[in-house]
Amino acid sequence: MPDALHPDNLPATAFYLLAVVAIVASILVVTRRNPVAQAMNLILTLLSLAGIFALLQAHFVAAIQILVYAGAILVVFIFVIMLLNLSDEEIGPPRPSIAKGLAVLLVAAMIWGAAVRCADDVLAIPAATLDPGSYGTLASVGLLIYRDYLLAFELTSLFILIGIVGAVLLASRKVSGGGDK
Amino acid sequence: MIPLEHVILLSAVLFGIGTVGVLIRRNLIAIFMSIELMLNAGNLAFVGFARQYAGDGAHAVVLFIVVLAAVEAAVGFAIVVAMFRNRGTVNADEVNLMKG
Repeated sequence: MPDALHPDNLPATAFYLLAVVAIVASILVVTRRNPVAQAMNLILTLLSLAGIFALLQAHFVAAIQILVYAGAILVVFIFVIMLLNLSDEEIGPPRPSIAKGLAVLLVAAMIWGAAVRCADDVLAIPAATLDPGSYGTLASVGLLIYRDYLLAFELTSLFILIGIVGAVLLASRKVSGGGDK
Repeated sequence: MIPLEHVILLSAVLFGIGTVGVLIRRNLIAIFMSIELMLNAGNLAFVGFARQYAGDGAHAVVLFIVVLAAVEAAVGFAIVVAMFRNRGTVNADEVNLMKG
């Protein structure tokens, strides 16, 4: 790509770089044995996806991706990894290579089939022109949440409440009758 | 201008990697991370299509998915911690209380 650094092509160049980072890091998430290494690679994947969101004009979503996802949710991951402090034998032996190979083949076939089926539909969508001043900004998305999706937004608070109650209930008591096998 | 088909292809590849992770890993924490990858692939598809249609309604949906991921992680890890305390393992294959 000789024109990769041309100002018009910079977003596309950045997209492909971030895409490669995201794919490599996500492969490492799936393959690394050490949970901390996995979590760090997951952060890298989430950050590169945040960059891609910003390139796709989703500025507010990109900010939320970094603040909530790479910030809060990954802290929960790290916290649990630290809390359990798993040894190698507690993590358990990896699956046999034949099972792994079969899973990769199966999923690759699934993705390939979906790509072949949907390629024409995706290519047929015309690119609409968007207003770069307001599209994807906090004002625009905030208006959507508090007006068009108000019911869903309010139900989200109930959802979080149920999640908190469930998590506290599950983590705080001993389950009787566990341990038999 | 980033072509939509490349965005969707990246989303599909990330989703596939996440699916493979759920299938090949036995460690429940690794399985949760793979599920996060799959959710993010969905987010990417939403944002890509939103850009193409020039409507940012999907951005609100992505925010709801992020909330869902946070709650899922909280409840899921509560289950993992409870399981680790009761069974001393995070291996998904060794959890068979429901098996008859």
